[in-house]
Amino acid sequence: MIVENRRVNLIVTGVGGQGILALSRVIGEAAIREGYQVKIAEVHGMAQRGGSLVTHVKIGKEVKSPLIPKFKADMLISMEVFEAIRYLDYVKPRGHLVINEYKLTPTGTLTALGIKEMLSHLKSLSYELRVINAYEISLNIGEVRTANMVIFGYLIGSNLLPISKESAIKAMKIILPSKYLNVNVKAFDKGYKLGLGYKVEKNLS
Amino acid sequence: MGVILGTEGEVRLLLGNEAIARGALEAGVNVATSYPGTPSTEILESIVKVAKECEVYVEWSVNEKVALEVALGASILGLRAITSMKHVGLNVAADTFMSLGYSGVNGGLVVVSADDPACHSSQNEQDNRFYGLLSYIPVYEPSDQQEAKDLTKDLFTISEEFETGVLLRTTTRLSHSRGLVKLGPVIKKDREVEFPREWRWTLLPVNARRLKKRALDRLKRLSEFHENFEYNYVKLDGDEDFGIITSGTSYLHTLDALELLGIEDTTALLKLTSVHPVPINLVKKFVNSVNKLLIVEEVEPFLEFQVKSVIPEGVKVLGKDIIPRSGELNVDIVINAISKALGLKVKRVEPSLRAQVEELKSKIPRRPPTLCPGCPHRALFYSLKSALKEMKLLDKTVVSGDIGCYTLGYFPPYELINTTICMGASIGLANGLSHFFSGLVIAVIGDSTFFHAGMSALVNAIYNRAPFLLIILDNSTTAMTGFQPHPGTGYTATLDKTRRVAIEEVLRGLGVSFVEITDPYNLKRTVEVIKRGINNVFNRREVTAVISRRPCVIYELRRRRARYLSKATFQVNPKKCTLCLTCVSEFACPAIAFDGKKVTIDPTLCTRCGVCVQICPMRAIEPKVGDDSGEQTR
Repeated sequence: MIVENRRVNLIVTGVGGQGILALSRVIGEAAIREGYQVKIAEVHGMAQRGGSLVTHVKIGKEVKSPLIPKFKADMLISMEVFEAIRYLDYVKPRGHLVINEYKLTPTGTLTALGIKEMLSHLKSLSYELRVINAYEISLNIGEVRTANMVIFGYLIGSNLLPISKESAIKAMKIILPSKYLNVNVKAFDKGYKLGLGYKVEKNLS
Repeated sequence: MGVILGTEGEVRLLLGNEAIARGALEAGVNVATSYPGTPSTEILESIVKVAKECEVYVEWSVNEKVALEVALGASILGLRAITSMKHVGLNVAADTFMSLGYSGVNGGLVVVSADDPACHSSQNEQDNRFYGLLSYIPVYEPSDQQEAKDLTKDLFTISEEFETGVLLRTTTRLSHSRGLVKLGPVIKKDREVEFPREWRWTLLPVNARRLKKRALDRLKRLSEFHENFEYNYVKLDGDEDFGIITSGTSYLHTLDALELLGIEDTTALLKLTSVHPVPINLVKKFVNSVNKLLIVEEVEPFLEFQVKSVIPEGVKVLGKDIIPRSGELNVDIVINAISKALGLKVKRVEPSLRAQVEELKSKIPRRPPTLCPGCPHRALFYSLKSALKEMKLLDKTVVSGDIGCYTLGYFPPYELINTTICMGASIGLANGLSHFFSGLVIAVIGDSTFFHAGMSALVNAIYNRAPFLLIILDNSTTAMTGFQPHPGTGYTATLDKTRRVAIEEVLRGLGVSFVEITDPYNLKRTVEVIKRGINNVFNRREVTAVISRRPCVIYELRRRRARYLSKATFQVNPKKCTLCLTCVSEFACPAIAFDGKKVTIDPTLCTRCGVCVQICPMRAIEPKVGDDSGEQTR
């Protein structure tokens, strides 16, 4: 188990444009500040154009392959519900799902599952499901592009990741453009507070 | 902004491509050139950001062949140069690359080929390690980011010592993965610039014959050098029954697989970084020490061919017979291959969960890449289809496409791209098609691609009287790879002003008599222009050009640091909307969605280009009255 060898495998997913790369990078940079090694497998180029996007984030004492095997991820973090389902086969049994309550129907699709239906399907499987209204929170902040940082704040507040708040903020300062730092920290704080309410005893490390 | 700048000893989380760029800086590189292409782009991009500080000459060249020639020119003068390209870019540069194998270099010259197994963003997944065999140029394959940085630095020295160009081969999973890199010192080296008047720079037959002998001799010396190459890794205790030879990221997958199977201590391992020429004695010794040998490598059996050619007959080598030759490798695939080789049983995750997950996955729609909201290409494709429909030519037209975002016009609902072969082939192919096809031939090409490989094919069309319509989708940037400037933008790589090469002047200068420019956001006029162009093709039987000009919306918004193009926000008036779904099914903008009952426009995705207002037959898409919250610049 990951508890012994201190290794955390994360799948981060969503739709191109939702800040998946930035979310993966702040998690990675923050984990480094906690003394971990990190690898992040990203996707660039054509796939980024409004397509399905997935990154593998591996945190541990030592990380070799950048890719996570199927059914070996400790947690799936998804900015969108369809994409959470698309990469579900990476998550280990009883692994964590942290999902932004947001559905973006693929362009031109006329019929598709509704968000409630999908979430109830997910609930019925053997995972630890957490649905976060990050999209709504970011709209209230007035900047929809901060939903990823709401999720980041939640992950830290809930103690799911072995990362301190201090390291998290430091990572945001490194990765995010200074111009948009304040609004992103605001989003992070909202998520962090939400996470505190669902704090887990033991994090994934 | 220079993520690759940092002080000695500092540890950074770098992309493989950034690590390669940093390695070049640590070698005191003088010249860096490239043509953008996934997954290679960030190599030059990150050097561009620090070019002025580090005094490196950088350029986005018009294509990979020119990029390599610029680098070789600098190398001949004694400067250190790096040129980076995607795998298929090396095909474009291959003529020069093959001659480089003969001529050799003066200053260190590193050619980076970023291969794309699984075709994440490419038309094929060719394995460019084979170019080493073809050109007599040595090939090196790093595994992780730290090694990529260190190796790049040292390759300049190797290049100079052996007077040879070197090929550094990376793949998507190294180039686009981040890992920790401990930085070394950056050196700025003023090198003496002088042209060495040597016969080897002139590949006349008399010289070429001598140069080939030199190249073959050099390969022999390199193979000996690789016997003790510090970047090759051997784990051989002598009592292992089973051994693996591997390279690149496959090595990392192999390490994870061995650990997960619990056999890392009992397996012999040879990780080759110098994949061509291989160190023959080291390989022989390794093969002779184990009873069972597996070669784990991505795409083609490149190491397998070489290993099999140096070991005695009868030794069993497993490789591509149990590892797929297409697609990229991962830990699961390597676990399966090792298990097969050793007759182990693979443990499966709870079959019931697996089945449940598969069932749920089957219920969700695919999400292929799509044109962005507000993309001018979408508007152009919509007008092109309208024009063809109005002229009753839709099923009598072949559209020859090219490489860029607009290749996505292949997908429904546009379905307007009939061929895509390689860079510039839209115009070349249109030459061949239009001489013989009874209907209409249209070539569709982007602005950057036109400069890359379209211009000479166009000269051919004018000269040989090929009658087709050429549509140049001019979005004023190299969009797909992340907005690099090109000759048509008026800016260099470092965003210094330069003379703008205007496409319309090029076209007229070459002798195209019909050249019209249209703004694709204006649907009515664009349809008219296209129809005029088509009539000109039919009437005058000559190549006819339409430039569809509108900057890439994403680039434009970023440049202006704005969220929207105009003040007006749009909404669907439910009183007027008859649910004909033209906007959803035929225009297919990601910002417009149908939930089964009504059509809505997502204000967070809409760029307010206003094109959907023009396509709605019921005029049901309207500006929101009294809404002036649109100008939210940040």
